[in-house]
Amino acid sequence: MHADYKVQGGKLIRIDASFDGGRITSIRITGDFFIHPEQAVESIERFLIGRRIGEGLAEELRSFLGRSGIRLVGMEAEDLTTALSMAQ
Amino acid sequence: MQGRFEQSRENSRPKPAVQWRLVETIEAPASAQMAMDEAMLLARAEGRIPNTLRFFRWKPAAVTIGFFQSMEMEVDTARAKALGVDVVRRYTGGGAVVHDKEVTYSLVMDEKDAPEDIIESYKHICHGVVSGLGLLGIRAEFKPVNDIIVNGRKISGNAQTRRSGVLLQHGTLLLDTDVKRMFSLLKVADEKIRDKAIASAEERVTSLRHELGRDVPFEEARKALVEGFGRALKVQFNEAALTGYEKAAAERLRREKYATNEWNGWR
Repeated sequence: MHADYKVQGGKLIRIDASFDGGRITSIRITGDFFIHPEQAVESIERFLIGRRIGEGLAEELRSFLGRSGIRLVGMEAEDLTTALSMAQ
Repeated sequence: MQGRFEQSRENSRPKPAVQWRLVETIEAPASAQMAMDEAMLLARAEGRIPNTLRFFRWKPAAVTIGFFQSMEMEVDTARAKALGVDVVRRYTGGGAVVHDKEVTYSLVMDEKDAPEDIIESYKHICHGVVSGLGLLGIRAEFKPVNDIIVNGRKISGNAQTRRSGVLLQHGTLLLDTDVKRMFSLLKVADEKIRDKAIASAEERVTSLRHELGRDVPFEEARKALVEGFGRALKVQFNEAALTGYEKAAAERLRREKYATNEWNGWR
């Protein structure tokens, strides 16, 4: 399913994802945000595959970003998980 | 005592201004421009060139999309082709931009010469554009994340990446706007509100022509920006051409990356 989520005062996150029993089976994140380093968008997608959308996901993602040295600009981890839940 | 001595020596000898290279304005297609930016980044990372500012013009007009955008979702590529407008994906994130009547700059600098925080570094560098606009008589301000606005309307968009200890930032300064043409090349998320989106964009965007009530030549705006960047970054510019290394790297990157469907259509 597809969802567009406009971050407050920020960027547009566009998600194309498929789900099976609440778990993410495929995902493509596009939009006009910034991620440093850029190639990390694919690590984020790989990290999310197999995970279940729920309360803990934003925290898990934030922790993954922190230990991987990935910086989001114009959005937060919560914005990505909000967009994901809209695509479900 | 030593501290005082160093203090007085500091005061009596003005620091020599930091020298940057200023590259002559280059007119070229979008794929070549984006390749030159990345070539400068590589050359800077290898210590082959000093921090550098350049200006360029898109010939022909072009649409660029941000690194993370979907070409298919953002750009009417068939229309771009019919109008002879180039389409290319940038190395930097951010949004889709139609480049036509504008001054475009790009700079590469040692990451250590800019604030570590990304938004702060945008502010630091964008201050060059704000300062240049001031010289043209326009009061502008930086608006996080990456815009420069005049009375609430966007006049400049900027995008940054960092790699191998080098910061690359490029950005636009609008000389004139044609929002209808812009929207004929870009797709809007919801086609039902296309007219509304055009009207709203016309309200949100401005240009030198709109602000000053006259056509501002490219060269006049470029000179103001050079002066503005010099003041904001506290640097002096020495004019020089791209090196042979940069030209060769740019040609390779153009051919193998920015002119390929693999790169432009990867999302």
